[in-house]
Amino acid sequence: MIIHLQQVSLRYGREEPVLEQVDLRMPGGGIVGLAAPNGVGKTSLFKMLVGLRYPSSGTVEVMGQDPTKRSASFLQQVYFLPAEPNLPAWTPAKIGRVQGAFYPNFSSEIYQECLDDFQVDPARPLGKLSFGQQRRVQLAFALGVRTPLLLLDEPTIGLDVNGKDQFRRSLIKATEAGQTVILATHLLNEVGPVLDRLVVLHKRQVWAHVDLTEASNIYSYHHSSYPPQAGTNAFGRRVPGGWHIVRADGGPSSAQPDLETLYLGLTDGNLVDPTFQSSIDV
Amino acid sequence: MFSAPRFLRYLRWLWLRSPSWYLAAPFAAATVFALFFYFTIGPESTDFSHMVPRFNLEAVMPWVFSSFIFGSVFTAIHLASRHLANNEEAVSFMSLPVSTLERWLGSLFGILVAIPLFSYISIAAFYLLLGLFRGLIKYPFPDFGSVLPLLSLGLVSYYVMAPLAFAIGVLKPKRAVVWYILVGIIIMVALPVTVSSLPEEQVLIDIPETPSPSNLVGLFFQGSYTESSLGFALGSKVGFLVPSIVAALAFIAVHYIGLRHKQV
Repeated sequence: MIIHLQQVSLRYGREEPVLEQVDLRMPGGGIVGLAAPNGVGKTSLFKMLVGLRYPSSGTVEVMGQDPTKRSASFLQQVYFLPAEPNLPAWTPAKIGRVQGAFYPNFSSEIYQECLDDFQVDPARPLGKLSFGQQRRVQLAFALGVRTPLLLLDEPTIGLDVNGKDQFRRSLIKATEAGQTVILATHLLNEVGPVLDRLVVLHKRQVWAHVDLTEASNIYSYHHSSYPPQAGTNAFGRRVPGGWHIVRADGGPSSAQPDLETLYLGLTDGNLVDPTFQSSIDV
Repeated sequence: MFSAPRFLRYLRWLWLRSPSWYLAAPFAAATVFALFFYFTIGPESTDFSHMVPRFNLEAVMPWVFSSFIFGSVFTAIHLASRHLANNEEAVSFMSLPVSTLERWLGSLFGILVAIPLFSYISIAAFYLLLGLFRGLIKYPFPDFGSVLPLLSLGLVSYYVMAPLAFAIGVLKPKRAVVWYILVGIIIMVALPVTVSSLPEEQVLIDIPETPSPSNLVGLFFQGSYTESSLGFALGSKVGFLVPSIVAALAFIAVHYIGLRHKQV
């Protein structure tokens, strides 16, 4: 297991806990989506995984280590990309040279390749780049460090359509070597095509942990002019021309799978995740 | 674990990430203090030895500390707001793959060695310019060597306060400010009380007529300096060094613990 959370709770001061008694066992490898409503703890969970925040109770284990110790060898194996720009205002070339040197697996070739793919000038200081281009540099660096675990918080923010497409391709290419990538995002459909699993945080808990390959045998998607009837273990999302419906019936789909509909069904629509009990032990 | 190549890489990273004005800012207070001191005594005076009988460590030191508390707070608040309270900077700083020991040593090196060193260079340049200006208007002006004792007073105070300033940057700002004020008050109260309990001959020490840059070296060998201007700055082992060292060690400990437990 690359991540193992046991009875983890997290609260800020005297406020209500953000996470409460969370259990999660996540196997290594693949690209995992982490989805949650605003303020439910995606970023806090990431920070706990990298040792920037300590759980109020419970134990967190990442690659068999305690992140709160923040040993150099541990930090060399995990890279956390926050949602806001966090790299120094140097040129991308200098960032690769100075910052990349801290990561033993850093590949200047992959970094340079990603910069090329993202069409970023490596000699132009970050401060002179647009937000979207700065984001591309951040993503290129995150992919270049080649840490076994990569945590990306809202990676597609600020990217245009081409940038998102390029990001997905770079992500697949960079993770072929067995990296585990976790993407926290609200824009599930943007990263949906590359996801292997989906973890849903809701009501301070890991609400669902869905293997998306298996999900095609569990959920079916349909388009209908009418909303689903109550009590049918189905959820309908209003779309132009009718309703996009997801059913937990294991039947064949008549419409394209839609992760955002599935997410809404799992969180707001009382759609059950029949694999959940076993999926936390995937 | 400590790794020398990684530590050197980290020092380089710190150097490249630090705003250039960090080099001069902590000693801006020293400049103000030294100039104020100098001009209060009078521009014609270039010989500090006549001031000796008027010096009273008990009266002067709290004022010296006040100056440097101001300077240190200024720097520390900026450090805290820029590097550690600012969330993204803090994430970048705390998630960089170096050990806590390396993070701590790097910070300490910056605050105890790099900043004072470059600040002194900047102050020397400042005095050179000022001397040039005063030379043009025919006023006598002391060379840099003659103001070194005053700056040395500042340096000693800075060394006492710097680890505390850094502790502020590491701990949560609100809690750190409380710590800062509390310990600052303790030092400012305890030192004069300690000094006032000493025999007069230990408090009032002769200043040589020709102070030199070699006095700075004495700072690092404090025990042997009892008859120089730095001897004055340091007072005596009992009166100044012991509380200074205890305070510095306490703050270094706070800093180390703070870095180990800092949460972002």
